[in-house]
Amino acid sequence: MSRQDVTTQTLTRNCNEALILAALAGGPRHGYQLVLDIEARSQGYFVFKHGTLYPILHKLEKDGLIKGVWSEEGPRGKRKSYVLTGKGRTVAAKQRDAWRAFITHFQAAIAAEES
Amino acid sequence: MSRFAAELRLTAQRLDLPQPARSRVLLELAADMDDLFRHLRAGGMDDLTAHRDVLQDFDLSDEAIAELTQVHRGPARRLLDRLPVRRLELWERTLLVVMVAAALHTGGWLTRTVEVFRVAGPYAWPMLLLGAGLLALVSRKTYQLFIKQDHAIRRLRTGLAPVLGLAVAAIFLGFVLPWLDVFVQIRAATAAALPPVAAVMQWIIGATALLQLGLGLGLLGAMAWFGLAQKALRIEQHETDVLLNLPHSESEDLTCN
Repeated sequence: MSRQDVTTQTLTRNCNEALILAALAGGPRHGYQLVLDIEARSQGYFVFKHGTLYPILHKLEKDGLIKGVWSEEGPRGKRKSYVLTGKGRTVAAKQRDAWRAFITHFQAAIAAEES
Repeated sequence: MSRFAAELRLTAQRLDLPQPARSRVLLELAADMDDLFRHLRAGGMDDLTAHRDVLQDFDLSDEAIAELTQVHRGPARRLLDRLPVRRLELWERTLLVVMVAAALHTGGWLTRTVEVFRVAGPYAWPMLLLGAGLLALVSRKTYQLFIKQDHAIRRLRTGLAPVLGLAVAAIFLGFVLPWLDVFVQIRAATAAALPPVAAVMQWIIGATALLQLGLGLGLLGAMAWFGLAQKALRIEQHETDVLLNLPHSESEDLTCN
């Protein structure tokens, strides 16, 4: 099973990763901006706690899908922002397709249950 | 200093990560906490509520801490983490004893075969014991700092001073033991009625060998101490970075990025 496969066993992890990668496709973001961005894009449906965000971000960084960049932002001091890498862009695209397929099959399965 | 410095220090105590990863995680958290605080204040929230909300949002669960730790630990540390603490301690002690025994065994072989050790005679033994002690101390510290990656500040410099102490002792013995040998050599020469020149020559050869051993061991010990102390210093600097570089938080500054 590769990272871009969506399975029920890894559903939450895959969902969180897909949301983060999709948010980063829009450009570099700080950790706190990512949380706000995902919340805004999903119209408040996906509410991330920062406490759960960092382990995922650091894992994605270690796997080379995103890159953390430190910058000095004047009086506010050091800030770390994240950008998608080439590998991350490819995985994000594959994950999008995998999620579409998952949702299609999931809806079909639910519909079959109802009928 | 961050307005969340006190809470971050508590988080720091729970983050059992090697440096510089630990400092980087804390700096990132501090910066994002302050930014979220500014964002909430800009949205009209009062100071107290914004502070409380940020703390709730950034509360790292035990699970999150464990995940972060797992991501940042090296393969050697992950392997050690799989062993129960008691068994690990037993393995560590056994390995140390085996290493010292091996060092002494090798030393014994050296005194019989290698010229410089052979010439130094029985005086090479205190030097070898010192070398085995030095090896044990350096190995234990290297294991702690580089393999186990135990970077707790209170244990950081423990065991470093004895390394330097033994290195200095080796040099000291390199100078002192030859003078002890003078006495032995002169007595032997007198008993055997050797000509004084031959006795002096014998002493010079033995003294040079002892001096070489002492200086060599002292130099190696000092180099090991320097390397370990530098590592400890870097870790301390990262700790200081976190304390000094935590971003400033001004409740009046409501600029939001």
